[in-house]
Amino acid sequence: MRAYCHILFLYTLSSPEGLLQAVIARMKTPRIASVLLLAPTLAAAETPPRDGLPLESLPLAGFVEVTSLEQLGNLVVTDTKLEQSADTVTQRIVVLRSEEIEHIPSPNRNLAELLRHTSGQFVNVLSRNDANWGSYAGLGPKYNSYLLDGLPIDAFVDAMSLDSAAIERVEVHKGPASVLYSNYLSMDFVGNQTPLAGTTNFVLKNRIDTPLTRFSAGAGSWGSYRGSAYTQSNAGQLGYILSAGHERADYTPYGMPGSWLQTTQSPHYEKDKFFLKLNYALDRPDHTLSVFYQRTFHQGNMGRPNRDFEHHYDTLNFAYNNAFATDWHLQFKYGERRYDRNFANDDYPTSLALVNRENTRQTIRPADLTLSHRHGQGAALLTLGVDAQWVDYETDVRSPAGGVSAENRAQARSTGYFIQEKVQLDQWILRGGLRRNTLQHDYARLGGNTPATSAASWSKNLWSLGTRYKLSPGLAFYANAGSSFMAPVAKQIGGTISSTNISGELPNPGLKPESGIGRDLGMAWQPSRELAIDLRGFLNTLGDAIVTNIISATPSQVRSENAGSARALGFELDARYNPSTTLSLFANLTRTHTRVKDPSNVDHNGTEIPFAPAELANAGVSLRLPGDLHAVAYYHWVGRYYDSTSRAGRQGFGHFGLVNARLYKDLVHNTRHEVRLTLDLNNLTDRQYRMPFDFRDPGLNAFVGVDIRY
Amino acid sequence: MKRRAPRLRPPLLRGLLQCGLAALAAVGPTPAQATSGELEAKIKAAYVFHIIKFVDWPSLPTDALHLCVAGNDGVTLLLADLAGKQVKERPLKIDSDGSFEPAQCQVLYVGRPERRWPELQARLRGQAVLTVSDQDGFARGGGIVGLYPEGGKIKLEINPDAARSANLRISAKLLELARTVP
Repeated sequence: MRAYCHILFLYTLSSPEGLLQAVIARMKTPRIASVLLLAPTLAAAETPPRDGLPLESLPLAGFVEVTSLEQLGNLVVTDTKLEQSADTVTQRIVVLRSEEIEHIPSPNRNLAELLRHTSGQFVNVLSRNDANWGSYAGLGPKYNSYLLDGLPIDAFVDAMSLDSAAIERVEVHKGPASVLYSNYLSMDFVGNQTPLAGTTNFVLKNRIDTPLTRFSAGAGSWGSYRGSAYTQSNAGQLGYILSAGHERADYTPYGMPGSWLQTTQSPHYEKDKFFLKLNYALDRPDHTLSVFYQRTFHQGNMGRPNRDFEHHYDTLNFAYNNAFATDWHLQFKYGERRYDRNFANDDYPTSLALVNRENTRQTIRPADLTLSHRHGQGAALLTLGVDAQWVDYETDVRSPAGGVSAENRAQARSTGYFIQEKVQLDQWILRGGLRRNTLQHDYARLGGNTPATSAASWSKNLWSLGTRYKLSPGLAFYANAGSSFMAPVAKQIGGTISSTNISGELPNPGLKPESGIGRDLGMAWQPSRELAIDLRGFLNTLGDAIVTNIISATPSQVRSENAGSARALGFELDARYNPSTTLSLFANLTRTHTRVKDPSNVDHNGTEIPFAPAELANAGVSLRLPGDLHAVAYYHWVGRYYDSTSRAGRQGFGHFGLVNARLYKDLVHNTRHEVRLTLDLNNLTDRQYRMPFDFRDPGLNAFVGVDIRY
Repeated sequence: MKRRAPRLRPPLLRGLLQCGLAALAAVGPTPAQATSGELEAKIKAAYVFHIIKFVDWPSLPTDALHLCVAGNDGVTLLLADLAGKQVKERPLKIDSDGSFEPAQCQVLYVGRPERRWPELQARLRGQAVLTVSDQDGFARGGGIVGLYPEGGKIKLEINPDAARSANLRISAKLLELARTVP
């Protein structure tokens, strides 16, 4: 008789397919009060202020150079794929602009850390060489997708490698994301990612009005050295950005003593990044071609003689924009994301000798064609289009003798058709949309074997609704709901074994995708020019959750099945206060109650969703001090969270607070040059807190840098 | 768990924290910040400059783009600072002395206190002139672009019919960020 024992609900809620160890081996800030209240985006100006003057004090001729229509209008793009005023969006959007991005501490140089101090976000970057294994709105890391200029990227890998210097702003789109964006079909790391709890759009710099060249260099704890060069300019209708950077460190051991991350020698890593951005206005400013390409080299060793790694990441975004008539706008986007990752494995603690080298190659090509039509005398915006993705996934294992075996060979593709209508009726904004999504998986080889099931496909219809009501100029209410789904990963469908007599995962070709519904209800209140308060409640539910069951102990066999459900209920409270042009403050609190329902397994039934802290809190202050000194400080509190749904097997984490600070001193400030000294002090209270998978934070660290711009 | 000795020693840390607290205690407003009214005027003037980029005229003079300014307030005074700035591949020429012929302008900014708008409007009928103002109800009253305050911000409203009558093409991008009025 089969002994059904449900294990690792975590498996589908937050973690990837069973290659966990291998996988792992891998503000609200200064706001210039009056400026922000009149045009909150002005704080984002890229070009340094002239003559040491704050932005709002520039003469008009200089002011228009460092601002744009987009900034003046406080525009966001994620809601409809066209720039619209943020207060016409039915969902809550938090916008972090380039100047704020420069001020936000990022101890691990990970883009996800930019979001750490926004409400609802549990950013859990495991190390400088590893991904963010966090959660958003009570759901694990697979349910909050990332976009790069509207095209999906990997929320795990790409945040490690992309350069923040390329980013104009980050739009954190809270709640069930609109039907306009598809899942990310990654077959590596955590697998598919879906915008159920929210989506975060990293918007690339597009506008280049003035030339700027910038050199920065610095050194810090653990023998860290970093240098970068950046230049932007334009020639006629062509605007361009070129940037290159190098970073290296003897990064302190970041694993728990005695764990699989134990080091026997000094670890180190090097990271080189290069990116190019071109933007060409064909005949009008709203008829453009743009290309972004970034290559990242990341290599080093994890502190043992045969635990070296070498990764190459390529990211390409191409976009064509044409507002070809007063009421019509066409966009076409195409991207490539190439991941080529190599790891050496030993047999620690038994032996430090080389066991094998793993190579993972994945290429994902997303494309999107969107047509927008403004009608109803400008009060309505219709958005419709088609998107697609093509994925090639291969992994090989090379033995010490040089023999290569093919472990995985899989392909995936998706097609989505979407339509959305957004209407403004007096003080009401109404939004509704539909998506039809079809996914196809093909498996030629899984886990070194030819799978019993070679293909699987699913089609799903998704919906999204939202409304916003403006009660007064300073007070609005909103509500949203939307559906989403998560396809099973390859080995859950195809299995990793073809015989019933060996250990591995058995195929389940009938496995259904997980389905989810996200809902939120909120209030945006600005009682005065200085104060803004936002309150948002959310309820996210998952059905047909995929759990992995033990089928046999000898041989060790498991099979994934649809069972159980999960829900996350919570609220986010945000407050921002800008009492003067020299001081701004923010604070936020998130409380989340999560439950897993799996009556067939008492060990799991009623437990919390993994990686979802019960509380998160942030507070921050930004000060502009006399003598061209600027200080920002952030406090971040993480409540209790767990790494599994098994009461018997899970570990508890969290219950710690972090203080990070940055100080700036402008040494030279004139019409042609700016020289700035920076000091980063991270984890000031030296909390070497534990993280899942035997990681720990290495504690207090400092970095001193100099930044020259002209 | 054996803790690693931090690289930055506690006394230094304490010192830094003390410095930070002292700085917090000492903080006060710095001088020479723009007042709210000045900043509002600057944002309106900047809007005028950026809006021009998103409007197409049937034809433009080759030597300069003429921005005519009627009225006398903070915004109209500021606009003079834009003289010579390049926009639509030609320098901006500011006519603010009141002697301009409206039909010869490509852009006409009407200041809030300006009382001659009805008269100017009559003279502009059928002319390819972009009219902008922060007067209440400007776009609803036949102007093309109005600037209005809402929720502590400056926003745009556009009258597409007035733009069509003036034979001007307003970019969809500009329409996307403005509210349209009949």
